[in-house]
Amino acid sequence: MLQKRVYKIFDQTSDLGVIVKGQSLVELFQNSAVVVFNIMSDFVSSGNSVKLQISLQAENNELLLRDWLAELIFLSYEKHILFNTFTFKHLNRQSLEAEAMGTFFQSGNFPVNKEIKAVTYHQLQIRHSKSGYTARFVLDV
Amino acid sequence: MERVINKVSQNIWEIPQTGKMHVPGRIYASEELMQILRNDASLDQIVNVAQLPGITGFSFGMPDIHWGYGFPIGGVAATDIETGVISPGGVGYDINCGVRLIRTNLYFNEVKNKIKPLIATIFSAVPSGIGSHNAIKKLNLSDIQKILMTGARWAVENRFGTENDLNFIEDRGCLQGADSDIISRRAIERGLSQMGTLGSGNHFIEISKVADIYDDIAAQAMDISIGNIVIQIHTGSRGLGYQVCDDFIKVTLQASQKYGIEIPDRQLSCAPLTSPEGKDYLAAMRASANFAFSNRQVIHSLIEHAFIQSLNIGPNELGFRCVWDIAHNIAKIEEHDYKGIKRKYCVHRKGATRAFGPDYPELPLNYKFIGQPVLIPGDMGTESYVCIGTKTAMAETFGSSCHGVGRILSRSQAKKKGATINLFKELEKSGVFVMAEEKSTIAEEMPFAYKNVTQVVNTLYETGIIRKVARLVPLGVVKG
Repeated sequence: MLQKRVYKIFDQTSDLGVIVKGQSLVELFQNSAVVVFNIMSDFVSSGNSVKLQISLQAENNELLLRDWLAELIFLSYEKHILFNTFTFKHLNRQSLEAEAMGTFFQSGNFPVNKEIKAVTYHQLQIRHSKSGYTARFVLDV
Repeated sequence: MERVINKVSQNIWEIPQTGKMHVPGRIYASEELMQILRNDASLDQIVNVAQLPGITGFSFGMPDIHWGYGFPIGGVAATDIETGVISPGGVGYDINCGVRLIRTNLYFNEVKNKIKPLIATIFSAVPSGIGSHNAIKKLNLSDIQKILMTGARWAVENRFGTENDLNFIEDRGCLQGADSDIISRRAIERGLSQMGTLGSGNHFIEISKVADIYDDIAAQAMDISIGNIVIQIHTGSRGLGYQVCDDFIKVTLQASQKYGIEIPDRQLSCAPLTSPEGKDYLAAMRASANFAFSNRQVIHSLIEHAFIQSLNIGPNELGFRCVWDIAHNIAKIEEHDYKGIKRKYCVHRKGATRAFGPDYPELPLNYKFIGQPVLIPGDMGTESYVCIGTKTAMAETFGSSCHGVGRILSRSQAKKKGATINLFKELEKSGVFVMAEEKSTIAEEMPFAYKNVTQVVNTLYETGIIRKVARLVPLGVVKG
């Protein structure tokens, strides 16, 4: 479970806005994924019964973050997995190779309480400062 | 700096054309609704949409407008088909999210003590909630291709409803010009097990009674009367539509760059309607819309069987018939006579309903002389309205109206407000029995989270955009 200080949910009338922080780009991508799965489910899964490899490319780090989260959400719904651990073999501004680990759930017993339809491009942003990285994105729920 | 908003006439406001706007913004709102809107980000979004190439007339905001992503929810934009663009963000992720109204021969007094078992039977017949699936046998690739090309007809041919239902669906439940080959494998995979499912969030099935009739002739044409039991279904194209939107935002982001279109928000990415990218999105969106029409048709049939089973009556006695089925997240190529010039436009309606007036050639005979039914569901605790489109709507809003109530509280604000209330009990006290797969969404969808539906409807009624036909009050609700 992430500390509240590394993320914040902001009000967006019909959807859900998220601000996430990380010391590095890797930590930002990890934290963003953890926040998304915290929003999807209250279930705290520590098991890593499944590991999936994910490779993505995008034009810049903002679009890469969006694609990363969209990919995880798609895999979660399609394969009934709640992911909890994310490691990166490679991550730069335009590509990533990562391993997402989590737990399978039986269909019909999937402990998800908030459907995320999509990770939108609205107000999508990554800022880099001396204190690290901050991402902002809006989820269609 | 406060935005300049000029009052044009009663319930009509305008944001003047400035900067990169091609047209002014026009908002339909009462004084009271405008007070809510004045500092809302949706007004900035009206300004952003006004910057899309080829937009004609106005960037519209209906009285239920609220902050969305890219386009506001409750926004309408008509773009010229030769010089204009199409934007997936102007349709949204839930392509052809819409509402179906079904009438029955039943009256409130006959079923008032049977609402709970009816809702329970529907709840088990129509899968709802996150990733809901397997309402019917899993589709194969051939099925899904037929659905994408023929829409609700596939459902009828597979014994979900009757041929007559098709007469009472916008575009007879099938948008022409769809292309199933453009739909990604991933989108198809998401659709395979979701036909006949409700989904989550603000999607619902509601059993209501007709509480008031305002227009006898129109009500007769719809075959509804006071005390009548009716059903509303609110859902869309499920995961298939979400994926198609996601796929094509990527395509149109590149297209925006390729064609030198400056966009103020990535979510407004677009492509010229004449470009291969624009044509592909239009064809893919139409295919996804057909999936949604079929989805609502299958759900219609599952609910009919639930009524027959729960009440132990025959189909003739039940008299289950589609009154109308509308899309409120869609882009359509339509001919409009705007300011004396007849041209074709791509009318984006994101959280907005088509509201064609009388004499439109494609309306079924029942509605040709009264205008197209417009279905405006309220929140689950109050009321909904059945209206009809008018010639004023044709002249002023490209035949468009509002689609619902419009949120005033964000989901987290609504949850906070509902934290100390037993929401199910409160609703039951007011005569509404609710079953929900996701208990947590109930607070987000409570009446206090929304604008007042009567205010929203009256705003458009007073401007002549719609005419009121009936008011419906909820009795039982299945929430996603």
